[in-house]
Amino acid sequence: MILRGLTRVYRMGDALVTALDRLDLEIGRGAFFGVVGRSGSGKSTFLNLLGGLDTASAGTIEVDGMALTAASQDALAKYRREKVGFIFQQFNLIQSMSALQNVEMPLVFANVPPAERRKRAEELLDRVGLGPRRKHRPTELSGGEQQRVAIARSLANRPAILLADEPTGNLDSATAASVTELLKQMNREGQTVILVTHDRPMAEAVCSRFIELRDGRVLTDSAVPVPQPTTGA
Amino acid sequence: MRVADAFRYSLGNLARQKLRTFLTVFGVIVGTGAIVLMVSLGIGLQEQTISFFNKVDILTTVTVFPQKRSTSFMSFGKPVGGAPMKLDDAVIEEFKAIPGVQAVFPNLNLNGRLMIDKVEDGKKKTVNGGFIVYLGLPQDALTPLYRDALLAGNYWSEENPAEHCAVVPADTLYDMGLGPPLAGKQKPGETPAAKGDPRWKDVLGLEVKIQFNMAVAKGEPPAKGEDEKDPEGGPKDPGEDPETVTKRVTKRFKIIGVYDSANIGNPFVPAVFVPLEQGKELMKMRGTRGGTAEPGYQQVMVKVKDASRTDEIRRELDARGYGTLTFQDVVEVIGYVFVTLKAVLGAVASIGLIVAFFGIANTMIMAILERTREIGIMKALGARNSEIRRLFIVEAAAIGGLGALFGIGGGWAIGKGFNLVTAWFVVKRGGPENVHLFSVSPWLAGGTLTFAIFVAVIAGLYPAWRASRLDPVAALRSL
Repeated sequence: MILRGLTRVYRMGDALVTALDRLDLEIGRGAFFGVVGRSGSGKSTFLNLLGGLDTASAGTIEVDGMALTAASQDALAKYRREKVGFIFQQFNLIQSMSALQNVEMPLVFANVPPAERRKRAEELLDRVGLGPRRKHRPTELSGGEQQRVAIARSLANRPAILLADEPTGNLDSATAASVTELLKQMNREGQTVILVTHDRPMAEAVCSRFIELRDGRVLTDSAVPVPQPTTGA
Repeated sequence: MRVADAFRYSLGNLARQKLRTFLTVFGVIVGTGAIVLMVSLGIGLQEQTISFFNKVDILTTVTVFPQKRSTSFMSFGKPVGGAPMKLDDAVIEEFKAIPGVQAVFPNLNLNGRLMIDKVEDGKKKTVNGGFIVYLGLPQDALTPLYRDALLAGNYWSEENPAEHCAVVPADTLYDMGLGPPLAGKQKPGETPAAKGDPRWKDVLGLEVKIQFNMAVAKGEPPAKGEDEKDPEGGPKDPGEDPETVTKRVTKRFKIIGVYDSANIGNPFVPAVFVPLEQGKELMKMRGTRGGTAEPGYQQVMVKVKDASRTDEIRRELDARGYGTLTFQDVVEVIGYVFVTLKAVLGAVASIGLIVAFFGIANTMIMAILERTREIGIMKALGARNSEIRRLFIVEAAAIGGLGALFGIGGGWAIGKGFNLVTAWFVVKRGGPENVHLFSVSPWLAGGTLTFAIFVAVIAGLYPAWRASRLDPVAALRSL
């Protein structure tokens, strides 16, 4: 994953807000990559751009040789469907559907036949330890359980990258630990994970490498032994 | 996304908001129900009108004119120019030679007033039976259909060439207080008659009078009573020549038979059947059109053996240069009238569906506002914009389809209810049993369903487009 000069500028009323400012990065396959920063530092924008949900104002993102910044809407949909899995702070499960149906959802958009996607979704729920609760709706599940359903869903299409945006932000510390452990386990099995959090100690604990963002720029990079302020900071 | 998945998701969402879905669907039910009810009234009236004309007899009849006749709606039956052909006895023989022709005879077009002298309470009294068509028929026109319709007495025949005889319809006689009623026409306490009912015995042999008004040349003596001598010198039709006057002529006949006019005779006015020669006699009295040396008939009736060959024989006569009209032309003209009627009724009823259109659009926009986050989730999971669009269009179409199914069923049921009530009233008042005012055809049902789905899809287009255009990041951030 190669980012070159990645910039995202929002218009807020009359003012222009630079969420990301000429970001250059390379993230290797199989990494557990963390992004930390305060709210407004640009970390969510970073994740949305990487996940193909948002489009860059300038610069390029290249994932496995595919230039996201030049892709059409449909190509981005295909990228989201096949290459990435999202895990959100708000879980973002569809309330009217059971855990199983939620996990099946990405497979529905990928045109997987019903029997096959059901089998795959059951496997994934078993893997996150929710096999017996597959018929429950999100409202009948605890926060931790909902997040585990969301993780199962993110893995449905065997994505190359997992994008987790504050996955433990709405969980108590014990549950958060179990979710973090689940992500670490996925990473040990070879899954690339990109984790966005404001919790620097957590990033230090779980990530193989992490950067700290401030005002859209990289403040520190754990891969650089001595943290240096970036040019112009 | 598979089509089945799109349907399941859309229908599932409709089930989520049951009350709102019901209210929106109800709008479609009212709209489509009104369309079905109104248009089925048009279809029912059309069927009733056609069935009124649709006597078996008429399907095998081609009416031949000397000139081509218009079959258009505005000028139906009017001559459309061209040199008139002559219709005389020689031509009649030619027509008889056409394969498939049963009988050919001139339509003498005589209308009169039917009267019978009765003796009631010792007093002589004249009962007026109203207007009647005086139809001269040759022997070969008395097909099995005509024989079957006979209820009492007999037709004239070669062995029995009754002088001044007539076969009259049972209904007309009953209305004049003579003979028994037919089934369905009886008043309470009366027994309907079957074929050969002895109650007609008294009627047979009775004398009837028919009073004709005839246009004759001026200078003829005014009508006194009956059997005025033939006017000479070729009088002309009224309206063509101011030199004519109307003369009243009364003829007397003996009733030799009674028939049931359900399937034969004139659909508008009851007809008295008389031997052709007897009719021609009266015709001579009236004189002939234009007073030419070799007069021709104004109309010739060609009876076809089999109704399926009517059109073929009609084309043959057309090819020979004559003007022709058949029942099919009448049905087509009725069709024009009713297409207009049905269109107007349908358009009025469509207002309901227009209202439903806004209901559907409103419901869909609400659904999208409610599900903004869900749309964001689906986009994050890799849904294409076109798939999001399809989901909402399917949802709108389902509202239209569901409403139409219930609306069509409801409209049909209400029409059926009205039919039962009207049929009950009609039968109670002695009318026929098969009256129905509302009739739902498969075309109406299918058309209404398609139209409702079409309207619903149009109503869903803009909301669906808006849903598909939502920015996923913003959508995910919404509540």
